[in-house]
Amino acid sequence: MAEEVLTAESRAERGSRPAGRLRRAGQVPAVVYGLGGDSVTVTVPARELGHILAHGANTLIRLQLDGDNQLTLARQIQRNPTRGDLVHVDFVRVRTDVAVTAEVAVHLLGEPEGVRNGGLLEQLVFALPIEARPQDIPGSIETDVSELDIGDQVRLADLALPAGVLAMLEPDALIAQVVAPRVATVEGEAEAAEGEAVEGEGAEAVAPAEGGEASGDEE
Amino acid sequence: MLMPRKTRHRKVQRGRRTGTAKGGTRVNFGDFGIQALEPGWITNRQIEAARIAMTRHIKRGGKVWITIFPDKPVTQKPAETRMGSGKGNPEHWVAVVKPGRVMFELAGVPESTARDAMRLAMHKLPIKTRFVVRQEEG
Repeated sequence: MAEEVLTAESRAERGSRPAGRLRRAGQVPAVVYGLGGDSVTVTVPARELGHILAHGANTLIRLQLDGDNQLTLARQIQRNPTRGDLVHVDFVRVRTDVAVTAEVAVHLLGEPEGVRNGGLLEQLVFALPIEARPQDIPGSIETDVSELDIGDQVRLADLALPAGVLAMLEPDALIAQVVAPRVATVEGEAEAAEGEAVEGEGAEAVAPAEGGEASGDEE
Repeated sequence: MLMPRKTRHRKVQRGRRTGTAKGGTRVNFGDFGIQALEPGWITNRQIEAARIAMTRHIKRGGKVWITIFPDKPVTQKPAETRMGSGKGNPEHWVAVVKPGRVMFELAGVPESTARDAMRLAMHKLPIKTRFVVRQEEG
């Protein structure tokens, strides 16, 4: 992945209030560590960092700090959950000859045959953990799923990984599959059952509870 | 409707809803989601209404995830009762939601269908929300 240059300034002040002042001034508080060196608190310009991270979280960043060049990867990218602003970033020092772990997005290309026949494409792994040298980390891993019919699966062994990239999951790990469509139930029956459950509901919750997730399967 | 199978305590205090959500702020399971923009209590009836609105709109295909769970009991005193005499009876269950929390996720439908389905679901909820699309960091 391409290398980007980012200028950082060391920061002496610690704590939430100085960090807030920096964020309002268009800076992002960050920390640099790794390779046995000292941990250094820095600030980087939010706008430039945002542009770099838009190319991918695994972009190699050449951090210029006090006249020194350090090759780093951005990790633990914290964002405001509603605004999406950068709140804090870790920069981990890396060497080009030492493999690091990273997560790479898995993109499925094409519309599967099974989906055209009424099936549902389920992707189970969206970010694949890999091990590779920093410059070999791919932007994403793409696989064509247009041939998949209902019941077909894509496993890790089916993915074409670039040279020098080692996946950290088992080779038979399920990446995606095309499943048969849900069986529709009669709505009246479902609602009647729900009504009974509500009546039976006491202070101590004895009515059958649906699973916390994926409870939308029965209609 | 969603509710805990058993609880340690029948009644709990109301608590405060300051700050933003610490986790569950990204679309993790599906392709699209409904994200809270305000803090609030979402009752199990509202969750169920939103789910039904979505599943009826998408008709067939697609999969819905509910990523919040109403695990907090809310008590109410009976009508026309004088104050005092202790805390009221548990009446319903709520999920405590803070800004940024993704509450529902949807997959297996085109974005236009997902937007329409989730717009209907948003109208069942008592807080400001928005439609979000899965975004990979990188």
